[in-house]
Amino acid sequence: MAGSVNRALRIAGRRVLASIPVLLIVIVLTFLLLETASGDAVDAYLLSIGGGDATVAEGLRQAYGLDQSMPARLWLYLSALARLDLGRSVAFDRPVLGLVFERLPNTLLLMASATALAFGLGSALGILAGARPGSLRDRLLSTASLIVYAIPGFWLGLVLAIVFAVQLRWLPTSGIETIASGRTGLSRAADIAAHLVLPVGTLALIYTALYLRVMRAGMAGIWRLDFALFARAKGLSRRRIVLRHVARNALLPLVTMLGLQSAAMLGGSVVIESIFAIPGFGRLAQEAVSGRDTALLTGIIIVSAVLVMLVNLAVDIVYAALDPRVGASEPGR
Amino acid sequence: MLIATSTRRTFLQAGAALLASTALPAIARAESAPSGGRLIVAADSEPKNLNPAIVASNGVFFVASKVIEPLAEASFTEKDGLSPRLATSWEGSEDGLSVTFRLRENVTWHDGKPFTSADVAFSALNVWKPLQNLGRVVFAHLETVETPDATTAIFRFSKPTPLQLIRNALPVVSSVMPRHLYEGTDIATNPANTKLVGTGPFRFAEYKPGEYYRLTRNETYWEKDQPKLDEIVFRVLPDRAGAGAALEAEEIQLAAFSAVPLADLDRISKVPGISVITKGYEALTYQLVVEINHRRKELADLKVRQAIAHAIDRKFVVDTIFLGYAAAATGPVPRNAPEFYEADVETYPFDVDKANALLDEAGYVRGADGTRFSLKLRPAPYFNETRQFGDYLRQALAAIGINAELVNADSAAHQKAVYTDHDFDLAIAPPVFRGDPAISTTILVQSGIPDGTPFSNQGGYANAELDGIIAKAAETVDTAARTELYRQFQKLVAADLPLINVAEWGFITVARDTVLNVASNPRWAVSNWADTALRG
Amino acid sequence: MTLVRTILGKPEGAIGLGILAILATLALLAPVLFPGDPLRIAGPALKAPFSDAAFPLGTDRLGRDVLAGIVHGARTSLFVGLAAALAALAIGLSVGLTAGFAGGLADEALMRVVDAFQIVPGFLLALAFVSVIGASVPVVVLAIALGAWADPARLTRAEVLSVRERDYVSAARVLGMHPVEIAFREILPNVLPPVLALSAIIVAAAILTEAALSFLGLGDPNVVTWGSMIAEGRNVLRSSPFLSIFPGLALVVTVVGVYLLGEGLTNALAGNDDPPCRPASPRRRRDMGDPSIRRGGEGSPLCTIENFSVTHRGQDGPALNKLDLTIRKGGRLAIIGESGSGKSTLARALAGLLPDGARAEGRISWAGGAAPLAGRDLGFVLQDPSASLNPVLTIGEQVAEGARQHLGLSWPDARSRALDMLVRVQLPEPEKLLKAYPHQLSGGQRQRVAIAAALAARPGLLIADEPTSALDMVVQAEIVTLLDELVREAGMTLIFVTHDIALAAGFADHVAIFREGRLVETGPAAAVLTAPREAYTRMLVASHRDLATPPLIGGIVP
Repeated sequence: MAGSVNRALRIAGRRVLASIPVLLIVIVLTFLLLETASGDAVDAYLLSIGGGDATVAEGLRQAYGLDQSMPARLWLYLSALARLDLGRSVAFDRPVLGLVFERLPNTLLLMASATALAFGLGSALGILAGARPGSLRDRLLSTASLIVYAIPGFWLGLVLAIVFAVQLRWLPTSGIETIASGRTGLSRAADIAAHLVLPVGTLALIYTALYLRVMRAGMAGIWRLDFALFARAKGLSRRRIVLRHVARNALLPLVTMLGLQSAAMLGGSVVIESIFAIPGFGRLAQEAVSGRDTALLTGIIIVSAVLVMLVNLAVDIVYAALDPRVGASEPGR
Repeated sequence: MLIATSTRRTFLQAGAALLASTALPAIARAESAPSGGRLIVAADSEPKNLNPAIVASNGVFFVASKVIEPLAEASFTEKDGLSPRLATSWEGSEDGLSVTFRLRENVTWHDGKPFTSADVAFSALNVWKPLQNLGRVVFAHLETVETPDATTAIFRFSKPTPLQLIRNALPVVSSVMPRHLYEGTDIATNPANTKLVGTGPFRFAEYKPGEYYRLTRNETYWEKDQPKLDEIVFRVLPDRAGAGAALEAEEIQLAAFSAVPLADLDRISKVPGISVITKGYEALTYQLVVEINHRRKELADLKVRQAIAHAIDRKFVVDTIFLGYAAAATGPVPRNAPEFYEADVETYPFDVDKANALLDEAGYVRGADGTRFSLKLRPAPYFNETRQFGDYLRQALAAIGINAELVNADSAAHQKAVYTDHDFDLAIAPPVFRGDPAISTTILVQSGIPDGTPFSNQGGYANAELDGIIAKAAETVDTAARTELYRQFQKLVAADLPLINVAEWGFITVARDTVLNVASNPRWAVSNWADTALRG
Repeated sequence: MTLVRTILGKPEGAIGLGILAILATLALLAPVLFPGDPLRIAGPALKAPFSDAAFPLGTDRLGRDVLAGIVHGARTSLFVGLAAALAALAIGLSVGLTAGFAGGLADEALMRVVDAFQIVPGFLLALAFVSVIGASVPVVVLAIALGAWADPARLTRAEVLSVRERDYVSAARVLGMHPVEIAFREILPNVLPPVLALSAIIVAAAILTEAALSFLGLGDPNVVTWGSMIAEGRNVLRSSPFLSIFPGLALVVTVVGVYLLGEGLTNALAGNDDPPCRPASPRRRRDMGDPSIRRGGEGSPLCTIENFSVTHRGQDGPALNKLDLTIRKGGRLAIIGESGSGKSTLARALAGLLPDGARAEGRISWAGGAAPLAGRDLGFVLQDPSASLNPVLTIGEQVAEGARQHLGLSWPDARSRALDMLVRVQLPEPEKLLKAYPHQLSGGQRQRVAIAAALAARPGLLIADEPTSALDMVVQAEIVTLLDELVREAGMTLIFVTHDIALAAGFADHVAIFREGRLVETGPAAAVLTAPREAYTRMLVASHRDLATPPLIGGIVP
């Protein structure tokens, strides 16, 4: 399959090149945004330690290079970025890169699990609904998914936490693992899994509803197409028509949707992480904003952007694998 | 907070009036309490700098006071209301120019080095006086610290400094740092500010950002049989609903500083195995205060300020916002500081008609839409109660024809707006009374404070008489005379209203019954928990 | 307003519009229903709902009326939702139009900006924006719009690009229209429908984002919003859950309403009047014995149609009107007619593939009793070969699956059978073709594949519904020749639907002429075409016309 590998590499290469100007725009916009903030990182830091006088503030600003003009700071930041140095966080007094990579895995785990669960469940239910558009089953599933998708994530998270964690005590209320339990290996994985059930469940439920609707809508559209009629004319079994012909094509818009939703899900994780006290990326972003920590916020945004780009790239590759028409030359010989 | 022995009874009565009655856990005697176990506690913030000698704030003390010790800690029962820690005795000179501390012997730092008077001298001169937010006030006139031997430290002041002030301030401002780790380094950025090294009953073991702090038992602590616990874990739970849920689910055993919202207390106290404890915060009284920007023409008029004071229904605030876990305030010194408290001051009972009349007299009549004038109101975002009071105050002001516009801002923006830019007309703040008015209370009304100093008078208020009393009291050595000056201070503040004191409140601890010796001193949550134990 | 009526025609649209109408009314009437400031302290705190007539939904922590809060909150939520969506659409449309129209460097630059805004999570952007600038309603609206404009921009640009090359735009250009005028009068109306469909999603997302921002404490404290109500209710969630439940429900109902309306709008704009085709199950039969179609010799009746009528769902007149026809075995029957004559309907009816909702009356009886099974006894070929084949499956699989299903073959056997079929339809390099995909073939090649797939299970009857109409002249002839050979070799019956009388004349044994649902004339091809009995037939033959072209004047006067 050398052809598709080459294709994938070419797509990836083009993406990386196209993404550099995009990242630059993102960085400049973030700088501009925080410029308009009242108070800078040193102000926020001084507040958190109960106040300090002007000389202390001066010293800190010099140390972090915050006393220079915005263009100068921007230039310094960009040159550091070229060396893959994301700067130093004033609020945490640590390199941004380290902070980010410490918190990222938790959010990634949350999002990946939620996406996998939502995709699997959503497409299965969507196929069930789309197999017979207009049937009772379809109407029930469509209505249910519409209502679930309309539920605000933070509200759902609260309700689930109350019911399952506090009332029923089946699951832990918050955090990512039991504190300092010293567990390792499988036992630790199980502990983390138990802690993630509620936050992942909340996210997954909402996205399941979305993917159900996309799959169902896709299938409803495909039923109208000629090749569905042709498949019926061939007298194929219903199961084969639904799965191999209709659903297989409806998978394409669903996969595209995965890519489009990745940015949204990252944003949605902010609230979920807040409710369930998951020490992740979203919470870090909140802290960066409240700490007016430009370096940290910019670093977070850059890493999110790269993450979203990678996910979109992966989605495109999967899409290319699923749809033979992508990247093909002109038809006919 | 200090309790002079003669007024202990008065204090206890006052305290009872302040506190709602709830079930108290059985307080076993410390010596016979069981040993061992791990206590998991809810923490709602992660201070960037954990060093209490630099940042004397409750958020820092909550974790750091178990590791780093002050010269003395507050106490319900002991002499001067102080329990000796690293200092065993203290004596002031007649002229108020020196204080002699006798220090404890055979104390070692967590890294094994011995604790000596040199550490005290270093801390006082290099940290408390120049760097610490509160120490700058208390040790303003500190000139030098003599260390004739390893267990004696003599503080010498350039101007008379009242011993009363120093004593009251000890638990808060006198956290001692290890000289051998800080000398010659940049103190503000020293790594020991986050990996604490102290003399306390617990060692600093681990900090996982976003998750927890972990402290372990100090086997070589100077007090025999202490600490009782093996480990303390501060679990980061910024979400208040989360703390209550975690407590009920037995994932944590203790939530202090009202981490469990007041509205949930009634229900949670009925859960078997959980108790609600209001004691232990007597020395940490928070005050609900309306800060006023006197640069505004309307607010510079005393009648207007009086009208606003009359428009506030303190009973509603206490009953509905604080659900009874607070008391109405009469002035800048709270009731549970009987050493200084003056009850005979001008008061402003809730009277909307009177308020309206005052405003009419002052010449601010209602317009066609019923509004006299508009104000910008900035409630501090730190506590739910300050926010809710902001919502209430807006209504209360609307009733007397003042249109208050609420501004929502996060901590950094609020701080800058109020204390640096002076971009406010009214602001709601929660300052803390720390046992002595000179520590953090007079600064609220004193003039001449530089811009950018949080929790200070940034409203442009200047009263020469008040400034005079404050300056004089700062140097009066005689306890009785000093106390009298502060009584005058309270009368003047209540009469001239540089700010409006609305209510005073202490916090609530909610704990499992298995936790013993909760609330054993008036600053319990921010003390060293050496006697805290777990039953079973 | 036909648009509104169309929307109301469907249940989703009607319910959505209804919900939003009620909410809008409540929102507008809020100051009348609940005069005064909804944030004022109205009564005792934490009253339970449904316990006091003065406070039907209870009161909150400070004693504020929950129902007043919900009704006034509708104002904020709806306002913010609509305003943010409008702002996002305005920005998105402008940028998309500019980029699509301008092209070149400007397009590239603008698209990079769009990328930048799409890559940063919208909520994070809104959060940062509001935290930094300060929380007030205009700022929240702007923050949400900034996070949402990128998608409409991208969509608009795509639509502009596809519309830009269309004929009517080129015509406008030639006429000397100013580009801006072109943009507004020609392009915008065509671009709007898909963008409007997207707008419902944006409104819903805006409402939810505002709620989330308020929940995190970043809302405007001077107005009541559902999100801030939930945030406050959170502190007392265990003891007074209703404080969070009611505003939460309000949010859900509103968002559901918006989605439903959006769906109604999409359906109406797309002009989808017929319901999604509910695919009836193809007829199934248990036994796999010899197809009855082969029974009987050449010329014996294969299928007798008596008084057969079909009316499609939503149509007034019947597509087939009291048809009587006998189809003989082994022959080539051409069914000829203009569009609307009912010929395709007949083909589908014979194959058992009528669309859902079509009503059939009368009888079709088959030799041997039961109707033929699609795929096994009967092959069906469609008009448009590029649409008949599933684009994501290989040729080999699509040809083999019929054989596998009906002949009970294993996949390897079915594949070799598919190979045979590909050879039989005279396609070059059949081994390679097995692994190829439909888009790699030309139209003619695809039709051959379709024929191969239809015949894979060796049916006795082949129905071809205009199989050459989508192909060019040379290829048409090839396909017809191919069909002729295949049918002759296998002794199959062929029913060939066409509008091309000349084509039919070339190879059909029998013809049947249809007009407006009725059979005009039928008989042996030579006889009917050289000496037609009916005037209509005469006219057709005489004009030698390809019946695909619509009549210049309505109807033929006999």
